[in-house]
Amino acid sequence: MDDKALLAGLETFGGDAEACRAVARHARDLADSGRYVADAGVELTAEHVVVQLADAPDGGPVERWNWWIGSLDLAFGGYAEFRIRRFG
Amino acid sequence: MALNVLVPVDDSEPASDALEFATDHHSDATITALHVVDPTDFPVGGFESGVMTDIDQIRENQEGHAEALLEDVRERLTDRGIDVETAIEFGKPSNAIVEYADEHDVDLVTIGSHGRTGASRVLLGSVAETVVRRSPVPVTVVR
Repeated sequence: MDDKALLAGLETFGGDAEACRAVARHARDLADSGRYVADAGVELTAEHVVVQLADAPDGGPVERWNWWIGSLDLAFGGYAEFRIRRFG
Repeated sequence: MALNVLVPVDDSEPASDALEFATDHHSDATITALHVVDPTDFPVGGFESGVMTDIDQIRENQEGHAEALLEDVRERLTDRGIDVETAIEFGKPSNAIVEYADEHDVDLVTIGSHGRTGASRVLLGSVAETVVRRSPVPVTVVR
């Protein structure tokens, strides 16, 4: 996971640095868990994360991340732990 | 007016579970069983076999398979006294399901996910994920 590229992509969603870092941290955790590649058959790269989050209807990086994790949790199950509840 | 519940079906176990769930939970509803024929889903060995592959023939086979599948669903549900409609669409499954829900009088989508084997697990889960994201009506994912 290219952290620099991910943070740059997340900034385009308008969040502050803290929000972007929280999403990047959770994205790394998700990548390290190997769960996404096992379920979706796609490697979790910085670009892939940004493309998924861009698909969300609205919100900053955290809201978009939680929207995506919510859809993964519904479709595959077992993603609730990657939801961002609070940060900072 | 009765609810119209859209259930995308193929011959997988998760699709069968979704159909079961929909009929158990919405026994008064009209169930619309939709099968999406994916034109890019060629049979294995189609091109490698050395036989000239006829696109029309493949499509005809896919349609025949779809019709048989839906006829089987219709029979099973009708036997249980459930009001059933069937439909065949062509295209990428996730898009075709969402478009169908958008363009028809559908109240709910009930879709299977989480196949047992690797390939169907990825495929069905990914279709369900896209439908959850884009559906204009509530979606129940049966896992």
